[in-house]
Amino acid sequence: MDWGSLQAVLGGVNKHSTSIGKIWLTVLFIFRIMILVVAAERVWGDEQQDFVCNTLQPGCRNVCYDHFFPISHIRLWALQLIFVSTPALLVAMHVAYTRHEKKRRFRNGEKIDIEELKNEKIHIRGPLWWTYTSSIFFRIVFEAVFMYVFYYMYDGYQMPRLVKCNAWPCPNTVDCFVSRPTEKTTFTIFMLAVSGICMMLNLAELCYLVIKICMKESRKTT
Amino acid sequence: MSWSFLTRLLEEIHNHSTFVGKIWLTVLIVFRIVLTAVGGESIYYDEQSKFVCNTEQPGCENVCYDAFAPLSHVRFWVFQIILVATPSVMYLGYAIHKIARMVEHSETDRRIRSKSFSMRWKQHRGLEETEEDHEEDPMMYPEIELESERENKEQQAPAKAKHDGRRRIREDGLMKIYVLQLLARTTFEIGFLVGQYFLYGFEVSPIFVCSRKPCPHKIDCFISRPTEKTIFLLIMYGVSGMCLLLNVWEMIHLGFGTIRDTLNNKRKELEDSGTYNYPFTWNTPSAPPGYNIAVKPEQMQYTELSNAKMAYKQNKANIAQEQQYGSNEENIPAELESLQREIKVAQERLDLAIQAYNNQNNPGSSREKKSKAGSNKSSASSKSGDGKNSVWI
Repeated sequence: MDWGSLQAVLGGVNKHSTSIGKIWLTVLFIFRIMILVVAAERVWGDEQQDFVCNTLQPGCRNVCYDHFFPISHIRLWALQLIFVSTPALLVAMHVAYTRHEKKRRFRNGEKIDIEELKNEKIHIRGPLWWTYTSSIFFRIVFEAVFMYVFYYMYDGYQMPRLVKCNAWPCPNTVDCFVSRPTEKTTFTIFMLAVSGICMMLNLAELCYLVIKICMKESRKTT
Repeated sequence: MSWSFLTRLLEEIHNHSTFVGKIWLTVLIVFRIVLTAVGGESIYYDEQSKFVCNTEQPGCENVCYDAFAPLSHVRFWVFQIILVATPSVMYLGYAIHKIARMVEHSETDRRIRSKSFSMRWKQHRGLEETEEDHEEDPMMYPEIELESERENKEQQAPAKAKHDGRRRIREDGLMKIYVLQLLARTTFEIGFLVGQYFLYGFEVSPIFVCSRKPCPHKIDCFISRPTEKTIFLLIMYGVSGMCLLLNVWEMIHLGFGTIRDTLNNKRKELEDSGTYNYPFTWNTPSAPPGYNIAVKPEQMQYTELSNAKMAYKQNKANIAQEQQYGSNEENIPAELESLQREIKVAQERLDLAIQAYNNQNNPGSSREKKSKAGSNKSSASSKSGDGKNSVWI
């Protein structure tokens, strides 16, 4: 999976984030994407080969595996990471649009310094504030939704060691054994904890932005 | 994208560490990350497929493998590397943030100061061109303006400046956080070493006896490549121990360095106590305060101005001297503040003097203004009395 390109895109967003946003980005890269690529994919690598059922019936193993693991954890985490990173792209697009507007005005004759334009630190206010805040809000929503999907699909966050399967063509209730259940449970709980931390960071950033804008408004009125 | 992201971050941290910190980073990258990525790959790739149990009972192998390795060695080392590197990454983020803010502040301060001074002096120069005895004035303006421009350029150069080394870290006000991250690193290192011992011991035995359900009774399971795994495990123990020793060495290095620095500073302070408290240094040549009054009694406002100018020069000399003898980190902000206050006072005096001068020499001034000027003159004269005292700041 090509996480390098996602990293390149998100790295650009880093410049326009608040400090909490930068911490969130670091946590995302180091604790989620890196762990996923370097460690988790190895753990789930042999999940179907080593899924063993106590039967010689051909096809029973395939069917039982499919019944208990409709979407593998790895793919769900990859989806979660992509969905959670996407709102940041909205912010990047907004900033690019603002710069484009400025360039257009410059070309139409207004006097704007080009050097300044390139290095300008874009402050989060006005319409950009709304874009930024809504992106954080969506991030929180996506995190929560995926956490719930994990819980619902796998009946909790623990990987069972033994599953009893009754699907056709298995002749009767058959015991099937999952490979490396403890290691998988460890990783699931770790990724859950990091998602929780990311959600806390997003909430903190949201509160910070709202409080900042309220204080600015109150200073203007007084 | 695998370890490249973390290694790039760690290389960036190189620019913000002490000498021992750099050694630690190199050991971390070369010995741990590379070893784990390369060795872990090739040794552990078949750890489950070649885990063979002496039974035909389906599922028994899975269950016994899970009992043998709740967390595989490689994953444990991955967690260890990431968690041990995290304090450094946090410190890097904080350091960059703080340095960026410091640069911004000093830039805006300098810009404000240089702008206001150059404006005032230009104004002053324009008004005083009619006066005769001003050899020193034109010399002063270009010198100070040039200086401020040079300082501006210096500040803009270095986003990539190095902030490494113990002294630089202390100058930047980052020492506390640096020590904190060092302690966190050491704690994690010790924690992981202890955990590694309790989870895996010092050896990977070739046989594992398993009696979990659905295995019918006690069965022998055989691990693939136990000797190679044992050697690798011992190597990683050694590397963790080495990193721990490096952390301890860095703490000692920082501790002794700080003690040495404070001793040196105390010695320097004792040496300078004579000149330090003296308001008037003999380095800057200036006329004695009453000289101009004696020479040109009718130009009182000029006297007032030149006194204020000399006061300003005095302050600058003081600042230069104090910066030369750089004091401890905690004292610097307080001293800078007091110096800035002194500069502000001198600046205000200059302003008042210029105003007084303006009111005096304004050709279109009405009688009211003249009377005001008269009162100003008297106030200026009273101020010149103060001005005489004000030179001795």
